[in-house]
Amino acid sequence: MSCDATQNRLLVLVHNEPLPVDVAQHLESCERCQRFQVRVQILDRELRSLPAPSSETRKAAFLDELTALGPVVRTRPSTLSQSHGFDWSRWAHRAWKPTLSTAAAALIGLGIWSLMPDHGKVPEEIPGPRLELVQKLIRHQTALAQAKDPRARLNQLTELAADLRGEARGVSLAVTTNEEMRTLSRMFDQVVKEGILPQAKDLSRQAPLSERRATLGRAAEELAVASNELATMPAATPAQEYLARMAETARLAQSELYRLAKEGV
Amino acid sequence: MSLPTEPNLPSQEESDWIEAAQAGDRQAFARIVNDYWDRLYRWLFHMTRDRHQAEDLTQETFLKALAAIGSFRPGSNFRAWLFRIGHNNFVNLKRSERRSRQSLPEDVASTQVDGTHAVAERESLSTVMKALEEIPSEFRAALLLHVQEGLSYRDVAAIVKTTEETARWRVFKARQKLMKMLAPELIPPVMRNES
Repeated sequence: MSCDATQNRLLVLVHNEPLPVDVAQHLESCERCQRFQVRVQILDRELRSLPAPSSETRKAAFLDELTALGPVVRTRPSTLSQSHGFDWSRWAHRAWKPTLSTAAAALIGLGIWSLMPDHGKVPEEIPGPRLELVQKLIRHQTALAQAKDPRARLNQLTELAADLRGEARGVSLAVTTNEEMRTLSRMFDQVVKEGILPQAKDLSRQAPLSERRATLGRAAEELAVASNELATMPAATPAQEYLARMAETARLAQSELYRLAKEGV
Repeated sequence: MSLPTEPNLPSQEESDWIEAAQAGDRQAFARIVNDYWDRLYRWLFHMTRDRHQAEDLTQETFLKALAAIGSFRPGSNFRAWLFRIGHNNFVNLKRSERRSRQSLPEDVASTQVDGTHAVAERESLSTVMKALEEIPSEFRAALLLHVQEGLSYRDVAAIVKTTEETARWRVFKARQKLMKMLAPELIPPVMRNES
């Protein structure tokens, strides 16, 4: 048996598989192939020992998200009691489902609603699942209610848009129905059109040029990232249409923000 | 060559977790995640050569697995099923990167082999990692599944969607290419120039 034939046989042997007789006979008389056999065994050991950077933080966050009990938003937070006028009826009258999107949508409604004059009725109870997005939305909503000026509100809304983008990214890969993506797409649309753009206009009227450019620039950058990412990411078929809508919303808003940063209102 | 050949039978505990997860128990699914995250992530890291992409892919794989857990057939190989989803995600990522004309980032060269390894071993592992980068991804996938994960050629074939014979061939070629890079002096002259 030749060296090349022996070595080829050694390369396909499985661990602990007995050596074929002809391979064993060759090895007895060929020092190079003996060394080759040992080196292949070492190689496999090395492959099994190959390191990778730690992923413990991400793993822990994911497990936390998977297992944490979610908050249940039972009543409208008191910080919003002095706010006015968002058309709450469209949230109150929708068919509430005990899903992440429902709670998230409600929170976005609450958050943006806090910025508007003449609010309407608020539902007494919103089914609230767990999950990180809901927790983030609660934080944003609270921060929005406490924000004192357009710059602070715009920053919060920009972060909210970024969280929604991240959520859409994750959901789109696993989505099996249109409903969740449709809801996320609507929420994103609302945050951008009813939150970011009006606040950007307010900021443009009130803030000095340097502050206006810095704040609007940051928001525009996030929307540019959202537009690029959502337009190019692979997704399950039901999600593609909604990702495209979100990307387009982000693109148009980004242009408007750049215009406001440059020219003002 | 040095691969465990024991069948990849699930433990009773794992079967119980899977059954509970199929019934909607998220805690049970979390246990599965806890059990499989590291090995899936490690494989995806060596496929993508990028930590963040590997983490994203790992998470996406578990999200998809959660969504599809009801379709998993009890008694079949859960690890192979999970890694198949991971492989699909990896292939999709590569496709999208080709579309957007981006190249895969390469973190492997900067990956530190930690202090638990002796100096010589660290150097050796770094050399293997660099050599592994030179292997086409379909060969690398099969080799690592077979060697690191101890999966049979049949399971490797199921994960990368090919025949058992092709899986065997890819593992063979991958090992052969690595040996040519790592120990060329042991290769007969007639074989050194074969591709």
